[in-house]
Amino acid sequence: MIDHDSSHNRIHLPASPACGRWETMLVDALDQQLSAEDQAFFDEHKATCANCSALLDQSSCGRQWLACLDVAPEPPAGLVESILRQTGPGLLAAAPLPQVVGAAATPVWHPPTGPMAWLRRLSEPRLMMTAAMAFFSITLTLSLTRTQLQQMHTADLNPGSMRAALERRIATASTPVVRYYDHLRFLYEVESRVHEMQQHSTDNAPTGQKPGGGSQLRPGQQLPGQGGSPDPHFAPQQTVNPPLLIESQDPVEATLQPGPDPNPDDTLEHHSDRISVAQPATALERSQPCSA
Amino acid sequence: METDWSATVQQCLLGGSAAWAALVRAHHRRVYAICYRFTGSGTDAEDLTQEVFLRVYGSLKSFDADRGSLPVWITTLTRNLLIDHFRRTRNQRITSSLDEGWTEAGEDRGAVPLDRLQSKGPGQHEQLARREMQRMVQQALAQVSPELREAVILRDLQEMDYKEIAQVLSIPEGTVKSRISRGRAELARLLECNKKEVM
Repeated sequence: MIDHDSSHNRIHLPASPACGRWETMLVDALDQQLSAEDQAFFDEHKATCANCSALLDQSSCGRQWLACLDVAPEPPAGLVESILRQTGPGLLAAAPLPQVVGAAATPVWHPPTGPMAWLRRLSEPRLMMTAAMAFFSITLTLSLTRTQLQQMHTADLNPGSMRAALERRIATASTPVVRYYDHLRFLYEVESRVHEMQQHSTDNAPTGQKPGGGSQLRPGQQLPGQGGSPDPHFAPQQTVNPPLLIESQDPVEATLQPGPDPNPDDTLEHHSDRISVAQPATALERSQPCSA
Repeated sequence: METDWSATVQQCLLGGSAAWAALVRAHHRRVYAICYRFTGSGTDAEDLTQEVFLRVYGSLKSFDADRGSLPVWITTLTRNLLIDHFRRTRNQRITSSLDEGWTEAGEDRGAVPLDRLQSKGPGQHEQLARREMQRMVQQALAQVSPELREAVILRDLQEMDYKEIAQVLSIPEGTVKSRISRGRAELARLLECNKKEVM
């Protein structure tokens, strides 16, 4: 029974050894090149196998169709000249084509030849891109290190000079940064001390207003922020010594010194005080607390 | 009688332009015919023929007369190039076949019935019918699967013997014979299908 494919009526030959042998004999049978023994086997199998018989019919028919293509197509005029223009000695001899081995030849880069070949070889895109990248890298490095090529000398290229120049560059670049952070730290310290003073004054304020003269402030003294003395000579004096404050870990004490008021029994509002904030470890009155 | 091309190849390698021109003139028709039968396009065949001879010239040093004759060697190069071309233009062929199917949907489809092609008219009419039949067979041949097509072309159109075909295709001789039989059968089936569609 013949199995036909639905699309092209393709015959599926059985994979039996006899059919395989018969198929190999088929072309020789059509060429009438079979021996008598093979021809007998061929005819016998054809009579018993429908698939092989159908293949014989189709193969024979196809061979007849191909016979009408016996006339070779005529190549276009000028084909030979065109080939010879592209090949031949003097044209490809200097740049031989890649050797064809196997199924496909691998494309190979041919170095340019002729006049100015070295220039064309250097103008290859990958080389140009490499040169451009190197140029930008060097330019960026010189710009970052503020190096002037006009001011460079041969002596600047020895390792000692290069190292000294580099250290000088780093020191110059780091100085403003160090100064900035010093200033910032100083400001934080001052702000922190002022805040502590305000808090301290707020804590002591109710105590100083107790009836019965229980205030810790002496007469003529004044809390910060409560106005100044009309006498400019007795204005509150505030001194700040930031470097010592930064270095010291001791607590800060505020000392109220009475002014030259002749009446020490006056109330707080009628006296001007001099407030001194300083590091107690230095020359300030550590032994004179605020309390009277 | 088969010509010994070894001396010509040696002259080509030594820079003899006349030898190279003789080699091209002797083989360009066969190369063009193989390319034309395989691709079914005159333009493609012309381009491929030029490319084949570019390769031949570039790899003349690798020709070894002991391993095969020059025609077989050139045919091997041609076949390799055709396979490359077939793989390279696969997507293009799919698009082209879709376009052809669209245009052939009209009344021009299957331009000439087979019985008209086989008419026995005298002179010019007969030539026209024969030319049309060749076009149909060539068109059907281009639809045969490439591994069967190349075997059929080399055997039935280039009349190479089985041993040479086996050498070109790098397959056993038994496989060559099997492919030729199947290629012929597939061609007959395709033409039969076209005939049924026309009628």
